[in-house]
Amino acid sequence: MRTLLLVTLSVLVLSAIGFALGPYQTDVYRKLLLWVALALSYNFLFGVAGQVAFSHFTFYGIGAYAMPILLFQAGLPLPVAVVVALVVVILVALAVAIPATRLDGFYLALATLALAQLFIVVLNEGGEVTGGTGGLTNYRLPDIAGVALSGPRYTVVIVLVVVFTWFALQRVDRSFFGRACRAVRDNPQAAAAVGIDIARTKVMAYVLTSALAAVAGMVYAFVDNTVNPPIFGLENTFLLLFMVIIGGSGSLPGAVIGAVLLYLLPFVLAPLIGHHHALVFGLVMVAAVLLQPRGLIGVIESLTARWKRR
Amino acid sequence: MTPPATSPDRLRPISAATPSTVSDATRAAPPLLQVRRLTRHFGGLIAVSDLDFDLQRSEILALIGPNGAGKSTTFNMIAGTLAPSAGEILLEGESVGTYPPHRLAALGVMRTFQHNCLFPGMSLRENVLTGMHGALQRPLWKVMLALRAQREAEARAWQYADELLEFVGLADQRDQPVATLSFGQGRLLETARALAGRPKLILFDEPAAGLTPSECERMALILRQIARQGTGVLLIEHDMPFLLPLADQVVVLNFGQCIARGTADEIRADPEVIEAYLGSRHGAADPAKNIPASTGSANVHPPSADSVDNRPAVASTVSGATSGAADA
Repeated sequence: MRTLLLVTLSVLVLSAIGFALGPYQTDVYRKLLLWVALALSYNFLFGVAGQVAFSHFTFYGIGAYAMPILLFQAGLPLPVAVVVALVVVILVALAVAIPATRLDGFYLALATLALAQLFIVVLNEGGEVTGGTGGLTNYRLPDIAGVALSGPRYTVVIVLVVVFTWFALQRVDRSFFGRACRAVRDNPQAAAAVGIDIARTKVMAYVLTSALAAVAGMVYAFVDNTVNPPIFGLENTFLLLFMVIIGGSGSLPGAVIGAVLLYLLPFVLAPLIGHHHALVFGLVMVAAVLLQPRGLIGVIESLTARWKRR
Repeated sequence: MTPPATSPDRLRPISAATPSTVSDATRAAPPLLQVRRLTRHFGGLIAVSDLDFDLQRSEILALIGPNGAGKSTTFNMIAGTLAPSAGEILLEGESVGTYPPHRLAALGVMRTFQHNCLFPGMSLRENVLTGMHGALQRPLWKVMLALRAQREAEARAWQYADELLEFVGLADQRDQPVATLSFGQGRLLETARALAGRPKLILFDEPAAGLTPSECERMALILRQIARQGTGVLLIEHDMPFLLPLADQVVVLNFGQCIARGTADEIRADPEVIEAYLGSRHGAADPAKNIPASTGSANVHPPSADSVDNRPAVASTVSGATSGAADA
């Protein structure tokens, strides 16, 4: 009951913001929401499950490309296209995770890095299907039950995805599965001794978070109404990693803080110091890792703890 | 920082902690654990050879022997972390020798570690909750969408975790991180975590090692209570004054072979056992020196001929300490 109330309230508030914004701010706001959704699921994979994977943006890309390809090249109706895209993502995730999780963390990093690079190659060399280096363009979301989901109404769709991602991951994190993921991360030997199937837990965490990234990608496909290879490159993958680390890995609010801060930082700094904002970014990153490994959420928590003690 | 003195109400039986005591159905069933011709080689070295023993429900079985006798190898094979080279391990008649640890845990075999293996990022309660993994497992979509069922299952699990923390005497610290615990308290927490899986068989790897005398007494009481509720207990131990009064059955290993098997009294009197532990019969100059002052000596000491032979002294200290603890 309380959960339902919170969900409704957060959807209403976040949607209301969407209706209040102009066209430029709407674009920034939508992308910010998508970064938050990605940071949330990557935070679970990296922070809670402890898997150093570089494929998160790849699954975002698979979701994004799947939509125009399945809708307009394969001619599938929207609900079918969504289901097919999810099935494809889950199969790809399984194909990567099952061999990779049998090996140690380092090999998962390598395998997922290879997947990320392979994906870019496939996009560039995909000919008609992926549109090559130019990507796919000139499409738009079909009307759903006669309603055109555009403008602030489409922002509501993104808000729903973000809120769903948050609450789904929160549920999972506070369940047996969240504890199993942390147990496998912290002490695999003890995890196995209490009955946790290590390989299964790792694969499930990888598939779940990858599917959530793909859902965000599906929504992204109709934000710009164009998809092209550079968006899904490694640069953004590492930005995502930094968001989670600076925000505080393993914490959902931390992921949100990290995503908001790092996404908005260039918008604030670029007018002031131009391209030097990358330098500030680097310094923030180094400071965060050296001074507070638990990230900004760690700083906030220790401050509130001190405040409460007074 | 030792846990507070044992009080009887802290050791009340846990509701439904284990399958109920022997009924007609279970009497006909095969023994809880059967080890048959169990063998393990490491290259040319035979660590364990043709080992046989049975463990019944509610029984405490101690596996003892000098260093390198094959105790840990045997323990690891039963816990599933080491595959046997030959022979069989049967759990309620099912051959489980090749099962990985997580599958054994699902079948009701839980263990503790010699050097505490806890989850450092979690609170005490969360550590205990991990022990209930098997009971709480369900499809993830149900976790995400069946909110009420999920909440109720978690609430029940929390309640049981709190009962178990109460049982081992750590209830006061249940929300603390594990880092705040002493070594002995960590051992107690591991015990609670193992019990959370409602085990049929529980394996203890040197439960008394590193504990203070009062913690040892507490551990002995806990082991007895666990066995009384129907769970089979298998332990490896070096601390003879701790385990001899506790064990229903003792299996003595030397160079990978079982050299004696029987009750604690029989083992104490067995000349071959004394031979294996001492190599020869000398150095029995001052018996009093070798008998520990209290049962719960934290020292890991090889038992001398005297402490093995001098049965009445050991037995009386043990019963004294135990009843003393229960009265406190």
